[in-house]
Amino acid sequence: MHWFRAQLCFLAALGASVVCASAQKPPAPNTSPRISTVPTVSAHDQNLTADELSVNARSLYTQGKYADAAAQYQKFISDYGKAPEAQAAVRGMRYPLAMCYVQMRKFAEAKEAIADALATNPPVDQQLRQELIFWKGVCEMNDKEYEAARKTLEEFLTLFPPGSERNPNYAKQFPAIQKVPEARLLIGTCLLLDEKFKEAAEYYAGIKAGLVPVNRGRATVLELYALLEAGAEDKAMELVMAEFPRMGDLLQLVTFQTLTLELGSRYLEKKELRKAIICLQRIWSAGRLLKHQEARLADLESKLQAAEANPLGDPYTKFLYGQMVSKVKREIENFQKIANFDSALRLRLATAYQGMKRYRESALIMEAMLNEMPPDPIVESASVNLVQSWNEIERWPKAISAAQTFVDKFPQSPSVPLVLYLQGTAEQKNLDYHAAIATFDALTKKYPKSDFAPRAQFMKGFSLLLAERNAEAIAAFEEFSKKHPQHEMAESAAHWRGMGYSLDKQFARSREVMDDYLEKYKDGQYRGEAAFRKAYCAQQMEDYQTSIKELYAFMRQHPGHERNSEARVLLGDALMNEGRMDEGIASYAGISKDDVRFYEEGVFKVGKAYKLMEEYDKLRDHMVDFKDGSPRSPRVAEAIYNIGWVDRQAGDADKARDIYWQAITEYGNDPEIRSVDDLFPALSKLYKGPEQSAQYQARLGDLEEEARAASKQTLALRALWAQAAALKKSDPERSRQLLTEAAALAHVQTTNPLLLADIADALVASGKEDEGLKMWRDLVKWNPRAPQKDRAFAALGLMELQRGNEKAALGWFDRFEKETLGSMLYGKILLAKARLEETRDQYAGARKSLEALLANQYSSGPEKAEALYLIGEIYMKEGKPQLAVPYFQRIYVMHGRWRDWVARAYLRSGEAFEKLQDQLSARKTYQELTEKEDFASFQETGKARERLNALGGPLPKEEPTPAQG
Amino acid sequence: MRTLSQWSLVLGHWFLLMADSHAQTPLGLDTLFMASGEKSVGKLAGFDAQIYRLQKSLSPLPGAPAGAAPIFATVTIPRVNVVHIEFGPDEDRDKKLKEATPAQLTEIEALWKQFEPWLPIAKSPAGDIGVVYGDLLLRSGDPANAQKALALFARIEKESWDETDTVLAKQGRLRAMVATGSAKEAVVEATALAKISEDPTVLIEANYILAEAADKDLRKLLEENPRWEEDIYVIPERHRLYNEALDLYLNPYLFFGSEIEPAARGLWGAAGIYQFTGETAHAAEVSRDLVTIYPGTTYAALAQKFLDGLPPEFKNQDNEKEAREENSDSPKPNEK
Repeated sequence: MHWFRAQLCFLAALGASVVCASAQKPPAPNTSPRISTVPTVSAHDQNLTADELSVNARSLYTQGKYADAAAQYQKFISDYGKAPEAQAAVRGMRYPLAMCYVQMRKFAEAKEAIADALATNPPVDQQLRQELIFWKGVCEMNDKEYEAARKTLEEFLTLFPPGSERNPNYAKQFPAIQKVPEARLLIGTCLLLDEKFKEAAEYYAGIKAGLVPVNRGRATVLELYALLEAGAEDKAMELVMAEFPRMGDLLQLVTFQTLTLELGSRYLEKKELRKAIICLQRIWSAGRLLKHQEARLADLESKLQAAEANPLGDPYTKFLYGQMVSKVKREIENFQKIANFDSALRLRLATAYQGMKRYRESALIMEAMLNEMPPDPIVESASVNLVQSWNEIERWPKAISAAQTFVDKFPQSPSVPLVLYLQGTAEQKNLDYHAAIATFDALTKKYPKSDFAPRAQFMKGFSLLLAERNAEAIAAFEEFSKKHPQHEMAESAAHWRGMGYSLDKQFARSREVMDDYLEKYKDGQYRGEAAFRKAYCAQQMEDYQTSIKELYAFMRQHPGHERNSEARVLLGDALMNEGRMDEGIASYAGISKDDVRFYEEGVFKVGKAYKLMEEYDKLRDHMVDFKDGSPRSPRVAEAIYNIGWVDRQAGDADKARDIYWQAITEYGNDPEIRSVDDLFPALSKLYKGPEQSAQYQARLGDLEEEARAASKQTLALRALWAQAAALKKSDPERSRQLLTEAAALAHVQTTNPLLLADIADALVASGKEDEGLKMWRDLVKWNPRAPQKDRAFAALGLMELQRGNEKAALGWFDRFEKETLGSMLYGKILLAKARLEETRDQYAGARKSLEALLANQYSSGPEKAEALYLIGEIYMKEGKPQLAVPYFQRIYVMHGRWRDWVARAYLRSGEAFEKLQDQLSARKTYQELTEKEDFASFQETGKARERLNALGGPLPKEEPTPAQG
Repeated sequence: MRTLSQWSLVLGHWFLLMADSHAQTPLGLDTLFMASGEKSVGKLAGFDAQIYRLQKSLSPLPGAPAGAAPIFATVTIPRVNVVHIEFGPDEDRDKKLKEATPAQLTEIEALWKQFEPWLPIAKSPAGDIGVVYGDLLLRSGDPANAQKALALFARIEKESWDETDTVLAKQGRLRAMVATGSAKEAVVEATALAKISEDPTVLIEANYILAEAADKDLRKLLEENPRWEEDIYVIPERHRLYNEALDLYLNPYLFFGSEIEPAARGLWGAAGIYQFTGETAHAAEVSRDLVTIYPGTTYAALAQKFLDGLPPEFKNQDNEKEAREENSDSPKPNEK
């Protein structure tokens, strides 16, 4: 705050400037008949008479030639001061002499002259005494006698009777009273200059209320400065908050705001971040501050002009306006010199949020800086930070966009490579691998010498791997190794190059590269991974002996490696392939249960081995162990199936069934063990023939009753569902009834969506459409990954369509198309969607749906025939028969099995030719249909015959038909 | 080229009657400054493309009793002869405008109708009146009135002679856009307007409406998709709405932080999002902002209540405190 201190010194000198406007004119000597009005003679004439000196001095003083005036006064006093007859004249000269020094800012001489003036006997008039004491204080201030100055100024204040400030007549007689407010402020300034900051702050706080608004504002600014100097930040903040609502009225608004910025910065440094925010958010932008102050300056200048234009106006008002104009002008000038005010302010605010790990807030502020502020070094550095902040909270699109803006705005910045690197990383995380590859590539090409070039080269290779562009990835890693063999990422590049070969199925080459890696990096971080990959590649090459050897070595040398379970599975497979069954089983058995996926894979591979080895008891025990140990596994049903299989092999069908029933009873009431639902279809297959089926159903009925009695709702629900499934073909009505009954027991949040789907279907089919639709919606709501979503979307879409809610239906059909894969309902739903689009005159959309249907492997033949027919119909509607014909023709060329569609296609094709005025083709087409004996009964055939006759009848036989063509 | 006719004398009497009806606060007279240097004082009664019509009071007829009603005449003055007009002040009207509430809608509407034609005429008060009328229409809360306000503000913006009224009308139009469901479009214009008018009110309001809409959509989406984290088709939309709502709620706090009420309201909105998404630590952080930075607001009280109800692990986790502690642990420059 050195600048402010300089301003304070200026304030001290302010008093001096006051004199220019308001010092009293030198009193006419009251005792000087000798002083005449002779014209002024040369100021430097050494041979002047006393009279001449006196008159001259007064004239020079009036003209504002203070140095010359002072010289004349001083000469008079030196030459005649001791003469008794000159005493009265000398006394009269003391005041103007003092004022000359004040005007000249020669404060030491002024102080002496004031002391002489005040010591005259008889004393000077009261109005002159008042002036002199004021200036005595100012001189002391300038002489750094702050304590003395303060006392003098306090004495000055006592020279005016209470209430006289409001008395215009008094002010006319004693004009020094106009300096009272200035004196009050100067007393505080003395305290400030004396570094008594706490006292100064208290002083200003005390006097503020009694000052006119302009001076109140000045006192406020000084108070804030004092508080900051006193280290009383909290009090300073209170002041800022209290003043904020009327801040616009402060004359020195810019100074106030700059001090507030200083306060905010201090809080920031002390990590009192919220207090920093309070201060920083109360600071206006530079533009707004300047606009405000410039408007104020214009207003003040206008008022000053008005005051000056009025000859009868109050001179002190003119003086005050003049002072205010110069203050505001100076403030504006100084403020305009501050570079990057806005960006510095915003960056501080962003830093405060970043300090609290509030990356969203800091990023939003810096984003506005980047987008709105003119480029400067602060904006540049903040923008780099911005990209990092967006990355921190994983807002990849924002990070990418900020990086792009940065590069556009600061193309010459040394941070461009870093920003591009961050952009590429964000693109990669955003799964836009191709963009990431392009960005990393651009970085390496444009900034090959940057520290980020090698990193970008590496990341380019890695992104290529993620994009499954393995060959290019290998090339990128090879380029890295060639260009940057000593770089810290060279080891990673060497490893990932080998991975690239493995992923590219070049297993032998991958092994060679991994060997190179292992040779080169004896303490490398990827040694375990490389060893595993080598064994994996050997296994892929069916070199089991090598893979067995290497996998054993891997497990021995890297016991805690994350690939351990996977290695055991691979090793087990290799050993089994080599017929080393027991070792293979031991390898699988060594997989940790914590690694669920590989553990279960190992369990069932062991089971398979026992089966192959015909060790059924071991198989049974192994599966029972798994069932008991992992009841919630989705593969429990598979384990029970294996147990039952062993019993059936042993000819004990009852025992096989019992194991299912036992598992159902044991786990059937736990909705989270969904594999229970898989047991029923398998169990039902163990009941063969009508009699056993009846037994199965009866037992399910019993199970349901028992479950209800025991309040086991989930088990009861499952029993009902299983009964319904068993009756689906033989008694669909009863099946539906059971499922509708089951609806009351279903809990949408926990029940297996497989059951929910069947229940929903049954509800709709039973006329309980609303309940059914609700269940479908709940199914989708609570099971976003359910394989039954296709059924749900289809049912919901078709139901909405049936109810005439076309928009809602289209919404469900869109979701069906977007969110389901490999559904057998695909053709049906796409047809429904296309028909709906067609009725809404959305022909392009309808055609797109139908083309998708035609390209889908799950669409049936009739659905494809219908789709072709519909596309043809749409073109006909659009008046494009030439485009319709090929679609109709594709039906009878490619889908001849679906005769109803074939008949329609022939007829419409003929009609299309007629529209095209191609009567020959039309006749041929009609004729072809009429000649097909097995189509004779079709209505379309009759119509074709009519049209054929109308066009002139059948053609001679030798001409080929369009279909044949 | 002044004309005086019998008919205009009749009109003059009518005008007198009308003036009498406002006898409590006589209307101020308007002054027309002519190109010739002359002035013509009266009450402007209308204008068209060529002329102004001015009601002027005539001297009493010879022999008329003292206290007899003055006679008025309408004169027509070619517009080309008029340099500018100084519309007469009307303290009563100004007071009415200043204190108007939606209850005075009809009265202010009548005033607007009266001055509406003068909208493009320099120094006329029509724009001021129109802005107040539009504001009342919006404040009435009636959607039909919001539509009316939209049209009214658009007209003032286009036709008013006064730049201040134009800016106010623009603000009004944007508020009307927000009220009529076009907040998104309003934000674009409001952003530009906030830069020139130093009044971010419209921008803040429009953003708040958009924030609330995103907040509502987010809650609906998650209600319909409680297991959204498992649904790759819902995740992007959830993130979009979540980020949109938070960014918009935080906007006034970050960019107009000294606008205490809207900033605090936005912060509380953000706290609501964090609470809804189960990000209690974030909710606690913004609540601490509210309590510390906007202590006097109703939102601060709500935030304090929320903080009081937190379990200790969240109560004790304060990022600012941690930053301070880290700062005090780190070596100071003179310790290095």
